[in-house]
Amino acid sequence: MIDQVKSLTPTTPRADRGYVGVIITMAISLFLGGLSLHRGLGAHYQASSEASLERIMSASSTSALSSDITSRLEVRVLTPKERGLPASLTTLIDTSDGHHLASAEDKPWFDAYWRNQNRWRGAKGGLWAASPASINTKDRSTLGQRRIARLTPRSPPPLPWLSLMLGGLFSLLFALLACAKVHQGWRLAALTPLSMTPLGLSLFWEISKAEVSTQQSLEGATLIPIIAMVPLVILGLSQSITEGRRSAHRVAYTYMAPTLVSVGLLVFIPFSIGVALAFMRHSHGHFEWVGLSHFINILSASDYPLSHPLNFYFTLAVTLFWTFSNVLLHTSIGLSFALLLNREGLKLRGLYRALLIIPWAIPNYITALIWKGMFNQQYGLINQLLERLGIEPVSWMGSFWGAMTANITTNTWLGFPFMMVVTLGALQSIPTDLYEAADIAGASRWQTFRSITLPLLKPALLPAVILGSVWTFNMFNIIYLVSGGQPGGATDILITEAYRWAFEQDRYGYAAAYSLVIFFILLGYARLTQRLSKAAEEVYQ
Amino acid sequence: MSEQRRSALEQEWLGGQWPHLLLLPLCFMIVTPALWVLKMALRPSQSFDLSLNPFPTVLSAQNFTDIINEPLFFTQIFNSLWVSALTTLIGVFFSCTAAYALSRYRFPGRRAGLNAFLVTQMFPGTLMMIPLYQVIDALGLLDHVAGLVLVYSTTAIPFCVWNLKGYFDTIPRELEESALVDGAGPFTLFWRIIIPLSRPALAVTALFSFMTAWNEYILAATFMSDERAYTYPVRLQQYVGEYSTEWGHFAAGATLVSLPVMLLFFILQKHLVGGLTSGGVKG
Repeated sequence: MIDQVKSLTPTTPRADRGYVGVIITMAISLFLGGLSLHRGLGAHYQASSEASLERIMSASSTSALSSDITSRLEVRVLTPKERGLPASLTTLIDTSDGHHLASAEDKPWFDAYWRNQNRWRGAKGGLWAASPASINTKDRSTLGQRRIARLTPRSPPPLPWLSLMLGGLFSLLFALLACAKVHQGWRLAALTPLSMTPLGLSLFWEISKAEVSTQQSLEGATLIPIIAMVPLVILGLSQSITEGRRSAHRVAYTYMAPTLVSVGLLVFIPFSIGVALAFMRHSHGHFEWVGLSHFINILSASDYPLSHPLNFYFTLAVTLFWTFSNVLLHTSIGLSFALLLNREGLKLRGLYRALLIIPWAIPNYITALIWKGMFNQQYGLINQLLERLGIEPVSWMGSFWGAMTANITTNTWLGFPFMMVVTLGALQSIPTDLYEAADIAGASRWQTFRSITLPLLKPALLPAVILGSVWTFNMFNIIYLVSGGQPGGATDILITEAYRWAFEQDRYGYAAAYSLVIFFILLGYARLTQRLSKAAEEVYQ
Repeated sequence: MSEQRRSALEQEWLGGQWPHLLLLPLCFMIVTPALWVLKMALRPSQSFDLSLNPFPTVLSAQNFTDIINEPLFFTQIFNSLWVSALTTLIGVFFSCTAAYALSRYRFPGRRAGLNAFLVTQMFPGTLMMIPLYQVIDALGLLDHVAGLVLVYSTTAIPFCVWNLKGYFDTIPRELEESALVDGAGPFTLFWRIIIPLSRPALAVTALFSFMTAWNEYILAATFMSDERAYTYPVRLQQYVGEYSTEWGHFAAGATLVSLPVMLLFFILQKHLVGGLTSGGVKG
């Protein structure tokens, strides 16, 4: 009864129901549904091609196959003209028509014959199958006949735009209707995801069509509509929560909407996939759930001794050392320059400042490569300079400390101008009468600096230091390009290590777990500094 | 009396100008590596070996004409420009309204939103790289500039939000209040008052998001395998990569790539960090 009364007296005016949000969310749902359907169908056709190839290889004739497959299928029975010869001397004959393999078009077939595999994927996505080989692997000579089949892949199915659009349109109508007519939060939360039904039906219709045409069930078919439904569930929940408050904050939310949608699509989705990957193992395009084992592996560091460069704690220590020394150098050098430049009546200040921010303006990969050249053992300028001074040339990349010195020098050079500019800005905002007062009170320079300049710099410097340390912690380019982890991966920091796991070892899951650990370390650091800066603010207020 | 004052002035002047003794040599030291690059670019040689003198002794445009005459030079530069421009556009366009809402309104979820944007700054590049690689592969956008634009936008948008929010915080509210009295609506306030007032901030934010794309190397190198889809940094790195050491060409390219950014830096140097630091403290 009370519910009914409430629904008769809507708390928000009609125009404020948030239709734009519904439309955008439905568009995202449609996009996700279409994308997963596309991927699902692609994988399905691939799998069905593989299955039919299996049938071809086991059957003796191709007569029982559907015309769709025979039109894409080519089978040859190859036999060498003389047996026992090495690959380079053998002429292959197609026994079905006596044709000699000689032309350039036959090259893939020639190669296929010598391949010590029964099933593989060809260069252009074609599927190959061959009867077991009797090839002498030592001298690549052969003994017998091979039956080889090639199936050209079916061109990826075009997306069924029409049925998707129709389904989407009806779903949108339902969702808008629910949004306009339903006022109770919980009903809206239930009805919004339900409005997915027409879109879901059209997705299932397309899936079943594909299943009929290939006579095979589509793996993970239920997953496709579920993926498409996720945004709607979120929308329903948020609608029910913001219900009632919406009108007061309408403008703010309207302003937030474009950013939230783009960040949701560009940041949140990849991030979630990344988190999911951390619990999986990847091999040859297949992902397998492994639970927490990556994390246990990383954190227990049982595979390598503590002093080994691949040990997590070793790398962590290197990273902390790297971050700390860089931030210390950046801040102290930047602060010194700012103090020097901030002296009253100093001439040429603008010129000095312009010169000093040059390192910041140069792209950091260029800086890294230049400094790498400068630290080169043979032609590097650093060693030339040392030679002038009568010191033996140093093999910088040969030792941990040498390589680390090169890295830190490079990063200091490019990083201090940021701190300098931050400090300069903060120095100029300190009121001059404070200094005058200190002068009158007879304070010494050092006292003035300690009790006026430094405390007043803190609110500007602290966030810059925090930001700088996060940037340095994840400073990929310098480490990767200057030392490249030499010697033997010892100077790799966590982020370059994670990159190597992912793109040099192809262990995506492990690398994702590694990255997630890095993320949590930084998150912990941020929480800590947040408390610190809050405490600092309280002290000085 | 007047003499006394003059000597005091003189003393002060001398006392005030001593930093030159430190600043001159230090500045020289810091600028030297940049000068070496310029010197390398200007002499017709591909080796690295330089004398300690950082000033160019020969002036030759050989290296510059060499790299410009490469068949794919303009394609790659154009890729870089296109990717950077689109990233800037997306970064600034999608973030300025949110930055305004975060700066001016108090609404449920504001703190969470602010923290979320800050947290994205801590995402290790690799954490995003692996899934983005999969997503872009799934969308069929590997070897396509659009893929890179998507990737760069993930870092550019949150950064722009924070940077702009910091600037908006410094604009006094009285301006808007008086405009409200004059009968302006929220959208007029935003377009007619906030946006024109924060032009330098928008310029700096645009510069930073331009730079994320213009200066990015590793993602482009990982995602692009077709030479025609390379952004210029990927090509530039190859000059001094594993298989060649064409330092002259590298230096010439580096000069070409750095100069526009450096120019913008000098123009905008007064506004470079305002938003970052003021935004950081207030939260």
